[in-house]
Amino acid sequence: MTDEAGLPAPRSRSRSDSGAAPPGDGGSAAELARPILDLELADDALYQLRAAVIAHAIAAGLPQRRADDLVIAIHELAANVIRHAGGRGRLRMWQQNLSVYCEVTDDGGPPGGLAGPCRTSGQATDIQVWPIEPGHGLWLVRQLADQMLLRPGPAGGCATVRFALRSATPTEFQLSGQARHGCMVVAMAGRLDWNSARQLTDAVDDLLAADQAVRLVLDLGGLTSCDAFGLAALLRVAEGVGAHPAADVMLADLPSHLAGPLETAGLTRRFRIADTAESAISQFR
Amino acid sequence: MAVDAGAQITDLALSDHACLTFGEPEELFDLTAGFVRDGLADGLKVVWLTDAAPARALSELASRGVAVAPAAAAGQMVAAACDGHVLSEQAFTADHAIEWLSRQMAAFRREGFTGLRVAMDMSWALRPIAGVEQLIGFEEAAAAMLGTVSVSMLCHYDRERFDPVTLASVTAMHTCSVTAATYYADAVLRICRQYAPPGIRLAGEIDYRAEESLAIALADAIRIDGDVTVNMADLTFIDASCMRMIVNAARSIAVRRKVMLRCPPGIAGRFALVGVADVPAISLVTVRDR
Repeated sequence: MTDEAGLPAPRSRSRSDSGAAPPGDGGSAAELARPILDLELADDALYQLRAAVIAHAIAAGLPQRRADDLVIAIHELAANVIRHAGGRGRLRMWQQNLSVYCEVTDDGGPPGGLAGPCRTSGQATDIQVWPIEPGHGLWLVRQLADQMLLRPGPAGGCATVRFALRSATPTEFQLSGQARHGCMVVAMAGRLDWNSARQLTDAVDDLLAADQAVRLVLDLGGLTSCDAFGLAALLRVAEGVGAHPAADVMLADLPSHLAGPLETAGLTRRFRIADTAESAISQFR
Repeated sequence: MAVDAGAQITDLALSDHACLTFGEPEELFDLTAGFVRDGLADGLKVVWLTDAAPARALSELASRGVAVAPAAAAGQMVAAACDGHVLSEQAFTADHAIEWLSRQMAAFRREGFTGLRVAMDMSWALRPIAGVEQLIGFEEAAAAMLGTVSVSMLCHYDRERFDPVTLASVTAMHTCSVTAATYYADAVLRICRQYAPPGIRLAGEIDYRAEESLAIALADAIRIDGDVTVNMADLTFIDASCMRMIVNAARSIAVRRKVMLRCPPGIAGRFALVGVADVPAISLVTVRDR
């Protein structure tokens, strides 16, 4: 989700007439591509900024949920400029290929803002050096955007986020339940996201309604991704099961690429976790 | 410290004739639930003449943690429509309504209750009803009947729909005026206290610019014993710093207490992302999108 390979290359000087030009390091991408939104940032106008971003994001074809994600990402970047980087900056939004890009630049302010410690280096920078704390604004942006790039801009810092208009991977989600040795094994495959999260919580609600003492094994082995809605659904499962004293639940076969997000969201401490569904079943017996 | 000076629904005296002005149904139901809950807890009889369907009124109370079912079964709690009680066939007369009130005042003693609480939604007066001009006369006569008896009455007025002149005239007939304690209110955001279940209610869009008010509201809610609800059902946007503030407030609370975050699915997802699963006190409740 933070892979920068597909972002407009910050060191590139190529300019094309296609309107799909990558940014040069002395200018910004939005000066080259035609922006669909170009706004000065102001402390007392963030509400208007959010309203404008959502309107243009929907008009550009982002689905509502992703447009909501874009709004909070832009809000956090803009709030960062206003609160920590001198208070003056600019938002530009443009559409390129099958993505919506937003770029927030600050006009240069005290160190520690958007440009932070890298302001003087003049180099494109590894985002790991930015102070991105779990739960804080920039961290949230990185979780929500398909890509995020932070680098020195013309005067201060420059943050670019990309939101894909169509998701690159298929959104199919499969959920199957199977009773095995007195346990109910619910296996999931595909993306656990806002589209599919409801299927999981509904299924678990039904299982709990049918059997107050159900022993659930959630086999996550086939999940390709899990977004905020997926995390919320898992949390709801933990709470739903927790409300039934005789019921119990374990996660099994947690894919390595989901371990980080689940750990950060605190879910690895909410659930017992087994290596495989079989191991979970034997621990229940 | 709230920014307005209205009386609190939880501070009503036994013989108050209170005027509740509300801005949205959520506020009306919340304040009325507080009024009903405290009345039932004190062993009083409670009668609610509602503009909503009586069944809806009862289910609104139940969803706010008021034990209405046993009280209704025992005759301690009655919810009814205005029509057939203070109105008859879409007509209002002050005499008829006062007579209804006298009957209620006689009945609760006969039934063995120590007092009576009456909640009356006045929204019927916004419809074309014959005799609506007698509303002020009724409020005046009711005021004279209360005051020395253990009967309190809460009259509901929609402050967005009643005209200011009527509102000013009727408030003068009441012993106090009740509103939700409001910590912040502008065109975009409203932060106010929630009474049943206790906590705070956020509606609109909230970001760091309202942090100070949010901090005060949270501190007030936490100061009271018991579980705390942060009702975000009508919230459409919350930024990272306000989410952090709510999560940190929940972290600071004693282990045995719970913090219920009621939010629409989108906002619940954000809270899950910032790691609320890690805070044992928090329970995340998803409400349907509106």
